[in-house]
Amino acid sequence: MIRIEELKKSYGGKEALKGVSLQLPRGEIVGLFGENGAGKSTLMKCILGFLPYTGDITLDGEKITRKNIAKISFATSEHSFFGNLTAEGHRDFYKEHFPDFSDKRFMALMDFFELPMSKPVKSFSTGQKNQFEVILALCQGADYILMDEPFAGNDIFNREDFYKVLLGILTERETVLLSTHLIEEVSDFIGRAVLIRGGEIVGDVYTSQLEDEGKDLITYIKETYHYRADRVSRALDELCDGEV
Amino acid sequence: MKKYLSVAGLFCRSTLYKLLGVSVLAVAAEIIMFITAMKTYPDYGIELLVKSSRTAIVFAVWFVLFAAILVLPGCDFKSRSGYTFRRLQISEKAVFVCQSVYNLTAFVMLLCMQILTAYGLCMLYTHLAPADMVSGHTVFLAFYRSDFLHSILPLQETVRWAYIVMALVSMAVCTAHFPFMNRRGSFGFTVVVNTVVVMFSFVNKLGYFGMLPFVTFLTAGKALFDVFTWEEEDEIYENGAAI
Repeated sequence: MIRIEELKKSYGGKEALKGVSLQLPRGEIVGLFGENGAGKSTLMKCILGFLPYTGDITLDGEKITRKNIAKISFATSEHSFFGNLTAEGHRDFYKEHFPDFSDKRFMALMDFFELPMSKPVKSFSTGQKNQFEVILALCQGADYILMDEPFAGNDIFNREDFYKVLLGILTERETVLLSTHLIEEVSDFIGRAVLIRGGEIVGDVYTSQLEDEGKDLITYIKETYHYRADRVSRALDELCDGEV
Repeated sequence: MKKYLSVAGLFCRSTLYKLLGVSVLAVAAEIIMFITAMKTYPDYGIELLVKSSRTAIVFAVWFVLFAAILVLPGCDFKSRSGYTFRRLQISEKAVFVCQSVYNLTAFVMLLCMQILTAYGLCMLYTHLAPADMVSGHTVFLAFYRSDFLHSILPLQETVRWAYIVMALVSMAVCTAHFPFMNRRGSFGFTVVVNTVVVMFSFVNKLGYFGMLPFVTFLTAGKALFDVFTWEEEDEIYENGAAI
């Protein structure tokens, strides 16, 4: 389990995370939702140890260090692969550095998404790069897979394929933390939704709980954010002097 | 050990073909320019031919292109490869050392290729030049009399050998320093300073060394200081990121 206690992070004088506490048990698919600048990426980078912070983050009861960092993988829309290297080269490199790398899963996913093995990754299209980034994260052999807006730039069909494949291949020991703005798309795919706003967790709910209450995820998010449905019409009204 | 070789292999796979391509073009350019000079100045000796064929300029461009190619792998320009480096079980300082060793190998290969090309051109001269202009010592003497030839292969001038080693080690360290700093959002300027100084000071008269040793020593020192005093990494990855 990843346990986050009172996590705080500031950039200069601005607080990006204001005492976030969260637990991510094994085997869950968790959606992390929030506006731009809410703290989603910062939270993930703190978990990975890319940023210094105050608070406490443990992985299966231990601090996250070089010894256990291989248990966490990371797919980001910024991409973390080596552009000049081929997919085959990445596979060899990952196999050397991540002992639990799944060659079988890697080949199956490369085959499914029809990605070339011997071309430098920098020559891939944006969609293919995103696919490859996620493939590496899924095949590393990590127990916790963090994904930060991994599908930015992929078409809807491609994203649908990915959700289905993910559901099909994930094992019980694997946890996914998926940060995305595509709430409706992932609502059937995730088991739990965590809402972050202004550096604070403002909502944390299991989708089964929402189903029991007869609510959908979008409604829950709008309620949590106190979204005012008439906001746009009122703004237009003011802008156009009531002519709309 | 395999993990370290794997990191060095990563840099090798990213640059090898480019380095070879540049080398083939540079060697071809040197051969063509030397043969053209031989035809234009049939009565010139080797030293004058080497000078008039602008071999030193081709070598300088070749050298700069090597530096430019070696500096790119590991930079966070189009993707954040630093995220992957930070998740490896070896430290980023070890990654820096692996890249430095690979870069040193590449620069040594560059010098070896240049020496072989220059020697080959000298041998070509001894075959094509009129018999009265060639003796058994022609090539040997050329490597003493020509500033360029002597600078790349200083024969018994031990101090210049030390200079060459220092320049190559410094270039290797500085080309690895650039991506290390780039991944931290800083500009590793040492490679720029070092490349300019080595480019203009590498070829010198016998016994003269210019400012090369002083600057290369300083830039390499600055690069090593930056990398090995970077505490953030130890803080985060050896003890956890909490501060």
